[in-house]
Amino acid sequence: MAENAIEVRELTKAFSDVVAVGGISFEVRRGEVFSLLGPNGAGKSTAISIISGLLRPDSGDALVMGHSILKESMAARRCLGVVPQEVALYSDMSARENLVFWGRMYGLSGKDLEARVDEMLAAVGLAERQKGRIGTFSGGMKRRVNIAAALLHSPAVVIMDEPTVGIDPQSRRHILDHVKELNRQGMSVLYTTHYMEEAEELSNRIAIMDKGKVIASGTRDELVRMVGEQARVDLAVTGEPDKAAEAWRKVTGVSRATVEQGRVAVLAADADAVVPRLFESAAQAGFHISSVDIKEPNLETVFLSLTGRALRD
Amino acid sequence: MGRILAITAKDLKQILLDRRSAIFLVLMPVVFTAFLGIAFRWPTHGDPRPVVGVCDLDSTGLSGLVTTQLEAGGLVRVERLGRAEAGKADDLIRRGRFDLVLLVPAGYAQGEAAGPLPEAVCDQSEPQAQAALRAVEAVAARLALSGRVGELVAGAVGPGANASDLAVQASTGWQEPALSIRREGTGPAPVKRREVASGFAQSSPGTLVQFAIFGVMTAALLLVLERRSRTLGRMLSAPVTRAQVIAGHVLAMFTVTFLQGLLLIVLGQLVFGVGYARAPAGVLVVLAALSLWVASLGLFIGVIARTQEQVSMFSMIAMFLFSAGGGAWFPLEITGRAFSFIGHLLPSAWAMDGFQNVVLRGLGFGSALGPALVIIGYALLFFAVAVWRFRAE
Repeated sequence: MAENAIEVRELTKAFSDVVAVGGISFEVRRGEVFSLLGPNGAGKSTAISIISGLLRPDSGDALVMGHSILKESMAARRCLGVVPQEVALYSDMSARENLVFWGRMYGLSGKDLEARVDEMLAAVGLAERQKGRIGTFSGGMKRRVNIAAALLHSPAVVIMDEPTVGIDPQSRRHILDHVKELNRQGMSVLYTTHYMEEAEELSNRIAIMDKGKVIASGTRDELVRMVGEQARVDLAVTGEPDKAAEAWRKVTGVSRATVEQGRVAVLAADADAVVPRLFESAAQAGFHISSVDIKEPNLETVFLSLTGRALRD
Repeated sequence: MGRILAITAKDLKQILLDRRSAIFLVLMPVVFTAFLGIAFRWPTHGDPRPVVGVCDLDSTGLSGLVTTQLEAGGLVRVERLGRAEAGKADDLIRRGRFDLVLLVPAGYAQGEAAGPLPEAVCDQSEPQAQAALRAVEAVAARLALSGRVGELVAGAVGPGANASDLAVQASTGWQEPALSIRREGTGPAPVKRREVASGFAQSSPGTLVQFAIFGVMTAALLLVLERRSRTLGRMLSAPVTRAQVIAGHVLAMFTVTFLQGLLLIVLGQLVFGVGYARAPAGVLVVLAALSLWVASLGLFIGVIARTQEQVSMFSMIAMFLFSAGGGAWFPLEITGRAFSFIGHLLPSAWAMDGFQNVVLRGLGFGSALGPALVIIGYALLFFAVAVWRFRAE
């Protein structure tokens, strides 16, 4: 039996001269939730498409429960449940008809299929709306059916590609709780997101991706320690934020100062000591600080520290 | 196989759920069959004889003989005209509706001497009109002679004898042909002209072929929507091969086209009297081949089109090209040799040939096999290109 649920080895994929995935490697251990965290365009979805058999890599390989996606594609796909980023359902068919169809695609039939459809409809809280057409559902309800369709065959590994994008907070909560429940049942989950909070809440381990590369991986605490427990200080200033950032880079204790959406983000190991110095520097340079927001070290801070950009850039 | 059938069942369900399907797959083909069947009833019906319109304004026994004797002579095809059309004779000739219009005036039966003469309206420079005129002159002369005989007999018998009745009796002696014609077997029989379809014999198979092609729009649209809604991607991330996906969709398209065609064939036979039942196996073989080719065309369009608009455009182009060029709108036999040759580069022309070999020419099962094989060849060609494109995606 394979030690890892998913093992990615030096995967590379380019579209024309744009390298979407540039030789990434990571593994998802059995029974863990592993998140790929990164901004839009980091290469997360391309990596997921390769692992789920939709794209052929230019080089490298991935093993799903020990089965190569290149040499044993069918066996690998049987072990997988894939929740695509967009809702991939037939909008003119009902929730139940959709689930029955996708169940058949995974080889289920007869009473087993009907029973699993009933279970999944109950699990995602849509048993009473099972005859409603998908086209009439809200975004959150569609997302829940989208997830249910990937779980019908009780896969050993589930891949979820940004399953909470564009939905209401209630449905988002429902989905996150559902992922935790799946993990409690022993399912391995590969989860991609650009929401730091989701990665922190769900994951046993996290790989941070940017520009087609895995730039860091480990547990949340390991990643935070990598950048030295630095706090993030967000400041709004009167005047030009670029000049403020330039001035603050010279302040003792500031390791990085960048401008994000009109505000200045400062990384500092000791925020309490640095903030007074920032006020002094501002006064000397002739501008005022209108607001200060100090955040404890988190994955956002890690990403900022490693790339100089925010996750949502 | 279970996955293929699941995809097929899903496609069929989606097609049935779409209300437009009932209009485009059933209602419109039926309406077009009826409408075009009536419109395609051009005057000759494939009958080479001149067409004579007879307008009987006398309505007597003797005047009635003009029509019946013209019909009995068999040299012309006779159509009876109402009294209201008497004043339109010139117009009917000018418009080519008839080769000759014969007006039998009121009082015609009063006798050769006293009554007015029938009037023939025609263009004597036309060979068909000349032939019609000869036939009409023969009948008119015969009836004039009968009228004279009636008058002479009535004069000889004396008061109480009706000259008109006697003329009718005299004329009935002419009912049997005075000359029997026999063709000697001095050589091979002359080649029979290829029959030209008209009426429902043209509109029924023509509409079937046209709407089968039009039906690919629905099926191709499913493929495009499947790609755009990412359900195709989801399917391919499940343990389903591309071959299974293609087979499932093709089977659905084949089923829809075959059932639609079957419905139109049954309707054509039972309601419009088209002779599909002359060789049902042959008709089914052609229908199956046509359905296979249409499925391959639907797959091809579904694979190359990126948007719904492109599906509509490609499907309309296909329908116009294959229907008009393949003889679904009008028989290729009425076109020139070059057009007919070019038309037979299209599989739709072979489908029309296959159907009309049975319904029009009365040929048997064997006559359908050749066209069916040609259509299957085209289907394989379209499949190969579509599958190649699908795999390349």
